Parts: sequence; structure tokens; C-alpha cells
Amino acid sequence: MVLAGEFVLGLLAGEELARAEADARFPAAVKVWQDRLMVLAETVPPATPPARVWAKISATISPRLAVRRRVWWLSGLAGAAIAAAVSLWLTQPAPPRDIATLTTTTAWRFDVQVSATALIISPEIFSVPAGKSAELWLIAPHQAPKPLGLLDAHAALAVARPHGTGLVLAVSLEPPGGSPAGLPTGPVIGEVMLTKL
Amino acid sequence: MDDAARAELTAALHRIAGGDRAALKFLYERTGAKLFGLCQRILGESAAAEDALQEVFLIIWHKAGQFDASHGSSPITWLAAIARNRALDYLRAGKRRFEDIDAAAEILDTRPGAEAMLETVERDQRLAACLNGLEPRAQNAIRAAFFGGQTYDSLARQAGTKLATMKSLIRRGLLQLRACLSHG
Repeated sequence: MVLAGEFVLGLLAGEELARAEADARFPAAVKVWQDRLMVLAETVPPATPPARVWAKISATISPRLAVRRRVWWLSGLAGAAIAAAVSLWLTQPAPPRDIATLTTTTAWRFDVQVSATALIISPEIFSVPAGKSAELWLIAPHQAPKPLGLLDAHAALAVARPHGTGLVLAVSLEPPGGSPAGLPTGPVIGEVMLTKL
Repeated sequence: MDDAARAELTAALHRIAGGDRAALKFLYERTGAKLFGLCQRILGESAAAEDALQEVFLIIWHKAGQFDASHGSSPITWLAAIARNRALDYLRAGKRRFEDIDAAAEILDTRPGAEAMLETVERDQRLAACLNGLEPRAQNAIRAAFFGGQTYDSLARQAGTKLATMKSLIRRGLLQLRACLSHG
């Protein structure tokens, strides 16, 4: 089935493509041609990627603090000096309080909480979109959006507590791993203004 | 790629599917340069090639469970297909300017010597020998489509032939390739 070879080369379009895809044998034939033609890729000399590429991959797949609503306790610890840690035995930090709900046009919902040291964004209703990442941004008045991290369906995102008034949290859809530009490149699908922090 | 290397990559993909980050690092160390070479071949030495490689490994991180070795699939073929598709997506999205005529001419060049970098598996050598056995115009057009994400139209324009001529050139080439492979 030579059409499958043309498909792997990316040459099929329109009517020819529709005709090929209607054939039940097509997927298997594509796989065979994929194996045949992918040897072309093997003819390319390797090139060592710069170290920053792995650094970015590694940062993206790092495990996040996975226990919802206990994150505040850990974030309190992380920022504290030893003396403060000792005093935690006596007085634990106040638990975080709810300050906002962030909803999106895709009907996702996130709880936004604040503790003494952290801003915590917890997914209530959220699924990671296929082939995309959902990235969280902090926008201070008259300033460029600042990336806070990627939203994860299974973990709360905790960031250092920002301070100020008129702060906005926004979610945008980005390529996997987040915006390569440091600024939102995809559509902003939800935002919420925070009360004074 | 020899059988041991293939088994090693297959095992790494299984561990990645289970969320093993060290296995992803291992896979990156073993295949990153190869896949980056492929991204650069398609996108040039550009930031886009780096971004594409980064996304390739994030895709692998999420989709390693979909790799199925039970049907004799080669892990490197699977990985290379992901890298090629992602890099071509970038190319089509215009993140890199489309080939100018000089760059296209370079793509249409045969690249003697590059084949020497082939892995030593017999099957791969046979494929390479069969590709090299095609008439040069067909071989060049197939390479340009594979690495350039080009259409029949653009291939015909670059080669200065009619669309129908380009189509039959490539179809003939693919048929010849298939015949060559089945006669081994």
C-alpha cells in the first residue's frame, strides 16, 4: 500500500487522504512504512543539545508537593530558620485561608488559598489537556505576567506569597512544558483578581 | 542498534511509564543527541530545535506507556517518529521560516557519508542500501519530504517538474523501495 508510504512522508492530503483513511488496512500499512522510512532519521548525525534543555525538562517533571492542604505546613517549614522551626513545636503557623476561586472558560476550578508565606493553588476540577500544559501567571498592575508554574491535576501548586493590591492570577494554555517565551503565548482561559495581599 | 541496546531502551520506556524520572534521564543521555540531531536537521540550529527536543521528552514522559515492543517495534524508531513529528509541527507552525531556495537546495543534495553513521543492524543496513539504490531524483524527493515537511506542490516547484511527474517519481521510488526490501 504505497499510499501509506506517502502518508508517512506527509504528502497525502484532501481526497487521497480521506480515501486512504477509509481503508481498514491503512493503520497497519502506515506502521510498516514508518519502520521502513524512519531509517532516514538514522542517517542524521547526532548533535549534543545544550545543558539547559535537560534542565528545563527536569524542572518540568519534578514532583510537586502532592498533599493538598498540607502544603502550607511544609512551605512554612521550608522558609523557616532552625530557631523558628523549634518554635513551631509551640505555635504552628496559622492554617491557610481561602481567598478566591479561579474558574476558566473550560470549566476548571481551582481553590486559591494564602498562608503567612505561601500562595496555594489547588485543583478542584481540572484535567491536564492533551498535548497542552495549563500555566499559571501572576499579573501585577502595569506589569508583565510572571510565570508561577504549571498546573497539575494531582497536586497543589505552592508559590511564595506575593504582596500587593490588584494582583491577578491567570491561566493560559501553552505547549507541553509551558510557554517557551516566559510570557503567555496561548489563550488566557481564566483569571481572578485577588484581594489585597 | 544492537539487541542489547534495544532491550535497554525498551526497559527504560517501561520504567518511564511508571513515573521513573531517573529512567527518563537515562533515555535522554542515550538518545538525546540523536533526537536533537534530527530536530536540527528539520529546524536548523535554532531555539526552535531546542524547544522541540524539550517537548519531545515531555511527550515521552507522558506517553511512554503507549510504546508497544510486543510487535517487534524498535524503541528508537518510535522515539525518532515522535521527534520528527514534533519538529515538523514546529516547522509548519512557522516557528522557523520556511526553507529559502538555497536551504531547500541543500536539502535536495544527497549526503554521501551520512549513511556511514547508520547503526549496524542488518535490517537497517538493508534499508539504507535500498534507499541508496533508488534513482537520485526519487531519493532526493523522498528525503526532502521526510525532513522538510513539504507538499507535492513545493517539491515539484523546487525540482522544476510537473506535479504529476513528482507524484509518479515518489510513488515509483516507494514501490521500488518496498520491492527491494522484500527481496532482501
